[in-house]
Amino acid sequence: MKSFSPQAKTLLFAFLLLALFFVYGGLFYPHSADLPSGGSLEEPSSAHWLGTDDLGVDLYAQLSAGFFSSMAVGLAAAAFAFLLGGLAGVLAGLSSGTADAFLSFLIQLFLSLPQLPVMVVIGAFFGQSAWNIILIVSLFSWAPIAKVLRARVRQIRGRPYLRLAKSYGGRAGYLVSAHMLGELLPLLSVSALSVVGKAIVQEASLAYLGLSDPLSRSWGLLIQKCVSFPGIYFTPYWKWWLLPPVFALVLTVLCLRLFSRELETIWRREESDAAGA
Amino acid sequence: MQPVLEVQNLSVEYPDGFALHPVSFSIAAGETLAVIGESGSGKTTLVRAVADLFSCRWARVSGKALLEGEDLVSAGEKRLRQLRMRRFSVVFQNAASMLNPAMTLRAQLYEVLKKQFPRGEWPQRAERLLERIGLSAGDLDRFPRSLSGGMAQRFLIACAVALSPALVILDEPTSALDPGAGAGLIALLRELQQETGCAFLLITHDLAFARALSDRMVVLYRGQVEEAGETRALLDAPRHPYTRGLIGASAELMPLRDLWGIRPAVEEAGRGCPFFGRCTQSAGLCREEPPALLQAPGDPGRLVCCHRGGIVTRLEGRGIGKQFGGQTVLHDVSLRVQSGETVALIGASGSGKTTLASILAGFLSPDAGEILFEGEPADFASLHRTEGGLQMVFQDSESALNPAFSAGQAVCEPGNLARLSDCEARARAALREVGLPGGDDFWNRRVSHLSGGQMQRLCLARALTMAPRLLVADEPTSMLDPSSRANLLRLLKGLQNARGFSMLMVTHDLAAAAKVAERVFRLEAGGLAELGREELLALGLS
Repeated sequence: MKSFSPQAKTLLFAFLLLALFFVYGGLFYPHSADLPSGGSLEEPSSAHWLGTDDLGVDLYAQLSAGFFSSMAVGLAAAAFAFLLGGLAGVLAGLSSGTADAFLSFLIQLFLSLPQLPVMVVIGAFFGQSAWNIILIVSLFSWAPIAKVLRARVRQIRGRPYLRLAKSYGGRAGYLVSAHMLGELLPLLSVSALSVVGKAIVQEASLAYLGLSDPLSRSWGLLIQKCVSFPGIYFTPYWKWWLLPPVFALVLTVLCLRLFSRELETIWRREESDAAGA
Repeated sequence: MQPVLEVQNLSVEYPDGFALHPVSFSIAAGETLAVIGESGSGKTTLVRAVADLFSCRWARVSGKALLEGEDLVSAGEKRLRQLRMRRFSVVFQNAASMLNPAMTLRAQLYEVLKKQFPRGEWPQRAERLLERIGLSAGDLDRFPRSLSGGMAQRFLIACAVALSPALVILDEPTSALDPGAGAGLIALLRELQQETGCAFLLITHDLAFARALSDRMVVLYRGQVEEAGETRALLDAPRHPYTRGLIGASAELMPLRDLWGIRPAVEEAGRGCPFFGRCTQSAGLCREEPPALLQAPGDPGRLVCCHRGGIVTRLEGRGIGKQFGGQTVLHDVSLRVQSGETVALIGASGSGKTTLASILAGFLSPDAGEILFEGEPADFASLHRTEGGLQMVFQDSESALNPAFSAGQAVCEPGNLARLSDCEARARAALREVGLPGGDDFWNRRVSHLSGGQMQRLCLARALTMAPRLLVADEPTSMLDPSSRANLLRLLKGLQNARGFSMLMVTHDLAAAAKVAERVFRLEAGGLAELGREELLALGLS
């Protein structure tokens, strides 16, 4: 991944602009995201860039806080999925017989479970906290990574140089760290990156359903609050109350997903180049 | 029947040490026994001891040499004089210098004939003898200086058989002859032997001559009999490493193969086996104790003087079978690889060469059969990861190397995993051995940036760092240009000669196989067939 394609660069740039916009809102914008700073339901103005909500809390500040909370959930879930999926994938790829069958079954199980209903049930059962959300989201994100990785490890482990390394007395830990990691890491990173976007959407969904931490500032919660305002569509408020979080969500997730797709493409191309060389 | 000559524990001691260890052998009437060995192996000492020709008395001869039951060693000079020429005679090397230049051939032949025959028979007998050996009666009046080397040789033989002795000792009869004369000499000696029924004791280092003439053979090294047996069997399947070395160094016996002398001694032989320092399979016992000449295991006609029972069988596959998807690739294949030898496996593509090699190297498990490494069921897991075990070089060297590794990392890998102490020094030495630069520049280069030929050599170097006793190489030269191929094959063979490892080489290159391999097998329709020398010659020439 030495050279990004122009598309990848554009996407990365767009995401950075978005992040910068929210960083400003979170760190330098004068209004608080928690306390009222103006009148109720004010229109966008120079004082309140995106107006205020029904309690008079600044919407731009809330949106920015939502970015951090959503990103934190997404990154944490991705990190968990990275570790869990990587470990399970490598173990399943290296093992054979019963162990492999068991791990593969587990992976298949998590792949085929209907996610949202189960998430709703678990979320309702375990209560509403940010960590629970992260746990639930990562629980449903590791399986695809593990599946891809397992296939990859199985493909690599049949190569003559690995058979030789094994014959020289190399143990599983050595084989993975010395011979496989170089190839697995890009795959793992790209897969984990795509989890970030997915996790943000899933967190928003759970928040929208009221299963998220009610004190957090996530975009899903923001949307849920706005939609539950009686008669919102008969007022002009939805234009600055509802649209910004929806756009923020869509834009952020779109950037992340497209970027990870792009990285995957680049990585695959490099791989086939290396194989063809 | 009483043997013509029976040598019992004959030994010769020079003041500076033994020249001939106790030697025993016997020759029957009408039989030819060849004694072969390098120069300095004690061949001529043996002749002198048998014929009691030691002019100086400081050589102490003990043991017995019974000629028709009469001991020559203890016989006095007077008795010996009576026996010489009548019951035994010697044809010395350098024929021309053994003749008196001032006497005609007639005079010299009469000197012999007068020992037994009345004066009246001399001219007739002399003429008949000369015609018998292919000279004309007119040559009798010539002087030795006007004879060619071959003629002088024949004349000396005429003198030696003139009195129909029971034993004729031929000391290096071919040393002064050109090749055509050698063939004529063999025919002549055979005829003489048939007519007179005499026995020949042939002393020579010319293996082809010995092969053509002798029935049995004794291999001498530093005054010790290393191996004895029937000539053909001994030359076709030597059991002692020294014998094999001699054969490998004989251009006449190995018309197709490269010549390799026996390696010089790496350590001086002490009390133990005299061949210890030059032997590539010597063990601790060989240093300490001299071996005895014993019957070779599984071969009643052969005597071999080796603690390890002769050349060790390094790898043996018995009744190996393998199927892929219901199709039989190998059926009941058995193959032996001895220590220090190269076995080549040839065959059309798809004939199962690689399958067999992988099975024998432990990278594929057979459906049937067993594999023994030095007599024990092969424990491949430990053989692969220990020094002096078994290493395999795969055909596709590119896939056998991690492209992300540096050359140094790749070649060091087995040593590192086996926790060898001087791993990097070994690796660099191995790189130089296979003709790759051992410097840092190459060491740090990524494997993916190497050429096909370099990768192939890298794989070989990697295998050699473990100093394997058996190297299985699948098409080790397929990626190389002819010059590199020649270098690499010579290098492998040279390393083998010096280190004594065995090699099983899979190849489709018959010419190369014939050059480096002691034995060549062809895999066809799942079965194995050994190609004989004649077949190889025919294939090699076509």
